Amino acid sequence: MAVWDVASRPPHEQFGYWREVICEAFVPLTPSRIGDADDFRSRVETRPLAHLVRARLTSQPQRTSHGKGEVARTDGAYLFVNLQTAGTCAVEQGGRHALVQPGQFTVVDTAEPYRFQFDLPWRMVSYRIPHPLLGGRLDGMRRLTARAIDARGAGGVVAAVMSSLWELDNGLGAPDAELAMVSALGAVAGERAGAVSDRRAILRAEIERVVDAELSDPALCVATVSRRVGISPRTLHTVVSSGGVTFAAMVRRRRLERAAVLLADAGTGLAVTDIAASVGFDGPSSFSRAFRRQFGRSPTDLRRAPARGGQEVRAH
Amino acid sequence: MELTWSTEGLAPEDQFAYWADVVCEACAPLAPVRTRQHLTRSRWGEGLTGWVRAERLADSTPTEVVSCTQRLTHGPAEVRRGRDEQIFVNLQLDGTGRGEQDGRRCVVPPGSFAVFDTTRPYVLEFDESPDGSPWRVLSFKIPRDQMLALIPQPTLRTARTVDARSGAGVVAADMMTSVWRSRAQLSAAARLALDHACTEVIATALGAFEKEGDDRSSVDDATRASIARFVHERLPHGQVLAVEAARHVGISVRKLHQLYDGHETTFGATVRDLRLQRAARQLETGGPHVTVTDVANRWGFCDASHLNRAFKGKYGMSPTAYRESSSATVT
Repeated sequence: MAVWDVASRPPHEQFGYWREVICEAFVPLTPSRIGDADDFRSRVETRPLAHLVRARLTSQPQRTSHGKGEVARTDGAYLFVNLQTAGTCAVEQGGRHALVQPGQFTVVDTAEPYRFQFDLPWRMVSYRIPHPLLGGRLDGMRRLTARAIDARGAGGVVAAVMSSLWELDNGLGAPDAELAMVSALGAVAGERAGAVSDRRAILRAEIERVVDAELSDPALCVATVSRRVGISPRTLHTVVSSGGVTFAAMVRRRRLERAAVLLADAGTGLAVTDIAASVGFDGPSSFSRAFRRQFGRSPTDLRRAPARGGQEVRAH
Repeated sequence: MELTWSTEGLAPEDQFAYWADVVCEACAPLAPVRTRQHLTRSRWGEGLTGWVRAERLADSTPTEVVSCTQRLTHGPAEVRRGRDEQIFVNLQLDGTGRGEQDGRRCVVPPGSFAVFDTTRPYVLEFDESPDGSPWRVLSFKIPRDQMLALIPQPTLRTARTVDARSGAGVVAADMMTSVWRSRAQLSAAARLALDHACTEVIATALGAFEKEGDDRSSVDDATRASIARFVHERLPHGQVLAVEAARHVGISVRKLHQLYDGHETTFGATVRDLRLQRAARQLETGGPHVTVTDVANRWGFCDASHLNRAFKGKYGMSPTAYRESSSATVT
């Protein structure tokens, strides 16, 4: 644990000491003061954990810049999670800006330029998280930067964990407790990303439902389906391709799978030509060709010896 | 979806039976008892007043229970009756809790918690707080196999108070309460992430007991458990590499692999096991449009046939059969 308090210096040296201190305690930053008071009462307390560095800061109105030069001079890459406890902070990064009030927190990434402006005396709790601790969550977290996040919902859990972690000793359980912080942050980031992917999954399911209902139509096209679902053709393509296939490939696969189910079910007694037509194929030869490419055997072969348990031919 | 039960409006002679049903439904099979001593020291001298509020997160279900002085027994009959194998993490909010399991006894004051395992008998006793308010407990019901994968010892240290002296215990308690308080504002993705985060941090707090044993083997056990928790947390977000796990717990990669020498498992097997657990869960909850290939890809298996093979090895049935059997059970 380390404490820096500018009170140990005479008033006219305090701002200069503060400038040294924040670079010492955090990352290269250039502060410039706002206002012209004689002193610059400030204090920083840091408590390293296993990989996180926890800090509590008090200071005066100022602008702080982590510009291109500072980015280049920074050793390593970190996210800062700053929970505002007094005063306000105007934050800017990546073209986004927000005003952070007491009780809110914000995230910044040291790998890119950012700026803070404090118009009042302020206090904050700041946790420095190395990029590797975030693992695969890093991209999601980056989308979270320079926003004012309320301590409500998943944000509330982040604030509670930050407060709780402050007291933790750097012992055997520390790395695991740090994961609690990472998970809670991940939950906040996920809240923004999750909304998008849920909507996509819902749309994809609806598109598949409409396609299944119209499989027997050989002229089934994007225009019809997108109109039926109530979205633009462009959206349809985006949603379908996020599942890793084109619309045409998806429709073809569903036609063939339904055909396979019908063929494997000996009870239908339908001719192969009729099955082909019922799933929207123009002719029996194009059907056989496509079928063999998909399943590795001809339609008649499948009819003669359906797969055990029918597992290979489930239509999804 | 939140479920609430309350004895309010019931006549005293009906309250007991109702309460017994409620706790069995919301928690585990438990038989409530109010002896003469309980009644004498309680503000509620007759009947049984209480309410329960439960809301499932993802795999675990936090439940808030508020009531008057009583004893709750999970005896041999209740053990036999129980369907699911669960761990209960009982965080005392108000009043005092006492518990007994596996020959151990504990006293749980507000802010502390203790865990109990439904596969063996246990007894709980709760007292109202000295100022006359009812006791309150926030109980997290966690699937037993999930918890056991994340702690060092083969058997869980039940009936042991985890309190404010354990830093990890405080983080766990604070996380449980804040997740419970903010549950209405959590998206589905957040619920899942925080559900698992709570289980991991609770497991950390429980594992802290191993610090007491100075010998090599208990430190190694604790490290292996820490690795398991790291893997558990990382799994949904991509590959989990040995080098990252080693860095996380502060050892070399070589030492990490050595930790598994002479043990039934390896680092790779730990990762695979946890991947299979997640795959199983997705099969249960994913819905009909999620294919086995989707699940295989999601959890890092090359294709459906690789998942099939590994899945049968762990669960003794194919993923499809597992999905069918789990949809047949009403959750």
